[in-house]
Amino acid sequence: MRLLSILTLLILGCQPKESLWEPHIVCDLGAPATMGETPLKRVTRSQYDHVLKDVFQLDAALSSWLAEDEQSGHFVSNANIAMDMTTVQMYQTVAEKVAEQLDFSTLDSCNLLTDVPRECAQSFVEAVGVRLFRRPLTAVEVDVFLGLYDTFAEGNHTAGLKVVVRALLQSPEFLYHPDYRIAGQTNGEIIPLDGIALASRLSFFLWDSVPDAALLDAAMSGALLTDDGIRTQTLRMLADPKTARGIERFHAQWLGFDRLEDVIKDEVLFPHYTEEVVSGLKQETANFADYVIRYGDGELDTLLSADFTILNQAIETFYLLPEASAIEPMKPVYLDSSKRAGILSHGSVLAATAHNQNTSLSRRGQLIRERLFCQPITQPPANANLELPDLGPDATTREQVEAHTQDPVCASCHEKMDFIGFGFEHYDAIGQFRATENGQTIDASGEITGTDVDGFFNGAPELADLLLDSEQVRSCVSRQWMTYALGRELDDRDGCSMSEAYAAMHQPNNLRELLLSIVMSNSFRNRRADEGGVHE
Amino acid sequence: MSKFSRRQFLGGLGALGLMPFVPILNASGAESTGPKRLVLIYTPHGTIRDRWLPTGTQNNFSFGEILQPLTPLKHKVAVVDGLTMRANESIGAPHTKGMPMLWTGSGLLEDNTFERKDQDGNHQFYYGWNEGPSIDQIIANQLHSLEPTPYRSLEFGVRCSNSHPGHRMIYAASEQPLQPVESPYQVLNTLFGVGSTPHQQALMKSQRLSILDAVSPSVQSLKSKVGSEDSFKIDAHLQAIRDIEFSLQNAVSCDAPEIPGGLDHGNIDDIPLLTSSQFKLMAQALACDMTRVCSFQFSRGENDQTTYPWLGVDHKVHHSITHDQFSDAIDDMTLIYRWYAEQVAAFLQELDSIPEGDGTVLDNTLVVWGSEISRGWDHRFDNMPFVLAGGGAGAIPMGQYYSFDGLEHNRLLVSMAQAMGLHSLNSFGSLDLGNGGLDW
Repeated sequence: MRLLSILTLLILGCQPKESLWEPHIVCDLGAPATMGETPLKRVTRSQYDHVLKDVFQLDAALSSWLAEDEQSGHFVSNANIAMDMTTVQMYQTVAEKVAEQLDFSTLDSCNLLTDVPRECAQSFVEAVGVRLFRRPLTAVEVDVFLGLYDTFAEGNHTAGLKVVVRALLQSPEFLYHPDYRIAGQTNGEIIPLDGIALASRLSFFLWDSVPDAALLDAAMSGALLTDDGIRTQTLRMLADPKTARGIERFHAQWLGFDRLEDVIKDEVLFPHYTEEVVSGLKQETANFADYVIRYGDGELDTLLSADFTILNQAIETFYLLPEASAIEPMKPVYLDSSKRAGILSHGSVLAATAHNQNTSLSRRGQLIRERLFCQPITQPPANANLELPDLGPDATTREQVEAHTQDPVCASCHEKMDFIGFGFEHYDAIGQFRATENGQTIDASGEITGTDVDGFFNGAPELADLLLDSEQVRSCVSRQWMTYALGRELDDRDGCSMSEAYAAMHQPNNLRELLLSIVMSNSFRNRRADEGGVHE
Repeated sequence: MSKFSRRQFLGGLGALGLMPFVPILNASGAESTGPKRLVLIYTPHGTIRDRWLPTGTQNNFSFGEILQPLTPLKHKVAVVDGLTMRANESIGAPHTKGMPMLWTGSGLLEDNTFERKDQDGNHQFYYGWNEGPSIDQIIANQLHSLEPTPYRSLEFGVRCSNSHPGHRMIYAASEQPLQPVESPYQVLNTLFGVGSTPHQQALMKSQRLSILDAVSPSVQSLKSKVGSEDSFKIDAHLQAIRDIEFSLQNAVSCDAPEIPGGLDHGNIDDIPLLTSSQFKLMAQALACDMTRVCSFQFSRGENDQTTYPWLGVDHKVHHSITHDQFSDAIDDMTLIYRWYAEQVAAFLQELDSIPEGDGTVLDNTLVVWGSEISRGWDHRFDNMPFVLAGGGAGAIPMGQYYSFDGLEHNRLLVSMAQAMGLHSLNSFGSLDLGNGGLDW
């Protein structure tokens, strides 16, 4: 077997774009406030699971019964495509699974000997309904769900409640986020979200789930609609462990390791890369980001260049540390800072951006270009030759790629990715450190061009140092977070909101401040009206 | 008597295995041979053409190495070589545009659904969803309007990944991908009923209907709240509810095939059993006349990370292998493509084992098997590998090896529609050149 005979090249294009970077966020403070479209969104799979946990204490990851989420950019957001019959049927099925698995004894305090079952059912509908719908149910709604209870309880109280749960989980009031573009008088008019919709947007952003009672109270009282009120709630929510979910969702998608289990590795070359290790690596990065943002100094610099990580049992030996460290929850473990620096040298990110036997300079470089500098890479021409030359079994990946990029058509674009990717050559296809490849010493010297921090570097730690000085990276990270928070693509109309977020990244350079600034922004607290809607 | 109640009555016969098809009385009261059906099958990355091609002439040929598993059904199979998919006329990366183009004959929309901008706000990279519907959906609408079955169509899949143009091949309309069901247990749950007794099944059906009844006014009321840009989502939701209600009200009683327990539709090692299970469920759904139109999507070309450990091909993922044209990779690909042919052959044999009229269910079905590109390493769209089976009750002659020298594949889509009774359809898809169907 020719181990390194051919690499798959990414299907990426080659149109040079050598403009020097300039801040691109345009905010005209004198102009009327505006914002991008706010499409109607459905709950995602992870949100569904988190809701089951928060509302029903059901920790069963049942969302694998649901349709796959929509990919929108590199984040998932069910914002563009309408549901088909199968997708609706899947919501039906999962609701049935939930009803079967619920422990009603903990959810329903009815004493069937002394209480009136129908009154218990009403309390149940109201208590569960307010969580799932993120607002109290109307009297009409309560009657609808109680009607189902009456029909199907048939002397079996729990059987009736099961049908109620299934119906609540299939209601559009649960399935859709209520922060949509709204039918109004003037097209493009900016309308503040009401408290309920704002609470919902906030909790789906930070908790990937529905609001808790305190947030709903603030929404109902109107406190959430004031600057102080939303700041207070956001700070409270950031301190809540549930915010680890939003942090995990963001980083897994931003850095492309959300579906790491789908990135298959050669079992012969990497026998220790088990399913447990895969989930351990994902957990590591999630915990590390959570640590930096919520426990640590909150600095983007720390995220990108820390000399520590948060290990877990599954990957205790993954980084081949000279001494075993005691693994404790959220306790930093220090790594060799000459070998690892920050989140970009995590196994999760490196394994996700490699092939199943070999590394991929292009994928790793592309990640830096697109996700850190917000510089998209174009498609290759349709007739591009995607083969790497066969330089024999001892060739390194670098040698093959260098030979390949002799082709000037490909070089113009691949240099932008591959020259960055070279800096990660110390990490093999699963992200473990290597000093040699096929007997040859690794050369991890790379170059970054077309940015505000152009220069040469050797290895990922030196690249991380370069990134720390980049305004472009700060701006890009703030844009990535905002895109995630809003669940939609941003455009020029979100310029002033982006500008606020960028200021938070620029001045205090703090990710907690960034999250707060996003929540406070115009684009987060409003929605668009649409003259085409039907008016009531 | 409606045909559904008759079928419910007959459902009890199904315990012995696949239900025999009971001929439908047509309008004149004479027995027809059975309904026409359409099945689309997709496998990724094209093929290895010289190992896929038959040897011999149109009427007298032998299968090549890859299609050899189809030999027992050779007289009911046709190999279609030489068609070109006009993908170079469309934007998008090869696997991304090939997938929606395969059955729609149309390109991707040039909109900004998947747009990204550079720092200066310039378009760098943009494409949208599909331009038009897939041919099976046009056929399904026609069949359903003439003689409704519980489902207009059913979409099955294995490892189809998330909702993205490169991962979806069936489209009700522009920008309306249909989600394939990847879990056989989801199929069991929705198609074959829940509960072990007739009473339990009836209760579940009644609960499902009541729940839909309870929530659909809330969906309706959203129409007046959301903007016009979003109202299509509400319309689609309401349509989906009506379709589910229709399928429940007209449910046929049909015994579920034996499906092994504990399969994980995300697990590579479960792929062989998932595949055979999905094919069995599809065969049974067709045999019980739950629908006349089905599709089966095996994985996807774009970013395909599938390995085939049960074939000994576990050292590289499929997408990587296909970018290699050296002999060891060719051998690996041959193993994989031949395995696909074995799965298709097993499904065809299952359909062929169910008598119907003077023949079998397969005889009344048109099966079309295709891929989103013709070969992996340079993403070719000429010589697209198509295999037909069944022939749709004699509409397309089987037992043939057809060679079409560079004709556009839209003509095959047109022929499929004509074979299924849409005789006036002479053009299909935005890339159609207006040459009608193929001459068989």
